[in-house]
Amino acid sequence: MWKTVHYAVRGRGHVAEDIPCQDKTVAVHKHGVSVIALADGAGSAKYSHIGAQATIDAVSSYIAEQFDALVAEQDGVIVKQQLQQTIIEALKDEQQVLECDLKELASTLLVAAIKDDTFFLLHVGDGVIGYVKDEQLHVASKPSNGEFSNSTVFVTSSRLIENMNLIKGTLKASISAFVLMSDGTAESFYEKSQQRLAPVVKRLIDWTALLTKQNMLDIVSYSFDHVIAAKTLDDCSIAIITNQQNMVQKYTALNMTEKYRVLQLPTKDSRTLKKKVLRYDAILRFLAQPKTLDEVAKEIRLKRKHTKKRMTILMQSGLITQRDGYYIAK
Amino acid sequence: MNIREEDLVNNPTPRISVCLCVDTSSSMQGAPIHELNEGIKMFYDAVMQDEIALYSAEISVVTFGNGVECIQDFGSLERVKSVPQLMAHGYTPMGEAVNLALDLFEQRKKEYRAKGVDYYQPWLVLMTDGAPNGDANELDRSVNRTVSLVDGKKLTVFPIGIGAEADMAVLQRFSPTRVPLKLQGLKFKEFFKWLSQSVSRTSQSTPGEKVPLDVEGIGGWGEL
Repeated sequence: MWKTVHYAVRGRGHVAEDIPCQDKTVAVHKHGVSVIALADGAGSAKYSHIGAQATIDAVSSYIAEQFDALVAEQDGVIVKQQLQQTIIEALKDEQQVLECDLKELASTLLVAAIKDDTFFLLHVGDGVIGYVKDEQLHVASKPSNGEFSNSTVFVTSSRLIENMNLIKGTLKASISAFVLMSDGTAESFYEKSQQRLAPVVKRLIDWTALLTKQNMLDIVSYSFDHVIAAKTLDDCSIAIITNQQNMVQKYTALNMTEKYRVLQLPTKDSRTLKKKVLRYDAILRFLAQPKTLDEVAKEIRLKRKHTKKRMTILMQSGLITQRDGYYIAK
Repeated sequence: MNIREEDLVNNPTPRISVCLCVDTSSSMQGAPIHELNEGIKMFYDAVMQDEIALYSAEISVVTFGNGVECIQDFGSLERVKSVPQLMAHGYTPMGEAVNLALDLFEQRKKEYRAKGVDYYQPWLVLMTDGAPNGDANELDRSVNRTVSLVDGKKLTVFPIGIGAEADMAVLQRFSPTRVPLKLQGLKFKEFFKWLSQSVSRTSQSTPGEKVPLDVEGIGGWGEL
């Protein structure tokens, strides 16, 4: 199962000039395809916030519907042309309503789509696409800025085909997540001189796998509103998609407070909480091999019914699975 | 379970390189050189007081009068110990000076690229009160290089004539897209105030944003 989180915050510069947030994000699960998309509207293009939204809506829907055909097509230029046509048609609808030039709707575009064991990435303009392979964070697609800091390619550019970066491949049980970020976010998360992503991005991805959707959205929105947005005048946005592989490894790397949150423990007494977390940790270590409920209860010296409650919490947290009467850590 | 500031990377601020390429020939003696010095000081002060421009703007000063001299190479004003004081004497080797300024831009861009520092399109401010009388070949070479860069959108030029004797036709040769400005009297301070505000705006710009210059403030200019 693929979990997603996405968020955009208006930049301080846009707040000061009363310009709407031009970064837009979306997550779509359709026809067995999971898609995340992010677009950053062009600076002073009057309707780029509308263009960005129209672009991600159209492209994410198209990719979800045509995924098999797109990845099967060997000629990348044909795929790019089809995507360009989809984008332009969506923008022309907006153009007619707003009675504006197409370039007033310009934006960058970043997309990650997954179906079964196959992935598909698309990148136009600045911003960064990252991925996790064997629990290590890598850069899949770097910013395309041109020579100057305030120039990039947009989806309305006449040079779109040669500047669109398309990547496809198989996950092979080693690629477990993708992250998209706009250039405003990259200011904080992407080290330009080394061309690498900050370790905190991997933490965000792991949290996305471990936490509930709402919990994760609360964390991302707070962090972006109060920390990320303070480092730049630009809008900042992010989209993450991750599976739930190596969950216990991710959980084990958390501190005590973070573990409370993952397990959604109700009490506020820190001593009791610590004892409870340590018991859960012990269960997870024991479940490195498949075990029955009775074996677990005996190991942690707890009555069967209380043990079952704990197993339910661990299953809801996605840390263990159950099959044929046996539990095992993920 | 939130992100902290210490989790974030520190990327260098994108730089904007501004070269003041100014005529310090003997005809600038007296009030013109005095007002020019006052204007440059005001420019430096304004940039240093702007928290974004201070870390973004890199200024160099090239003079043409008694030969051609780079009296200040590109660098942040944070590290500048004193504002240059220009003296007027000599002739007007404008072509040689512009060639030096363009060489300095190229060298600085190479250094930015080597260190992974982003940069904006550089600016050349060319100011003269007369006509060039240096080497004619150097003048032609400097014009060709400048026009090529402007046409390729790799350089912005602000050509400014000072006083009644300024050769506006030569200044126009350097500027295929913008009509040269005749400075009103000796209003250097007003020009440098406008320049510092424009630098500040550009250093805050994001991709796709056109930075309109303050047309009312300076008259006759378009967008970057």
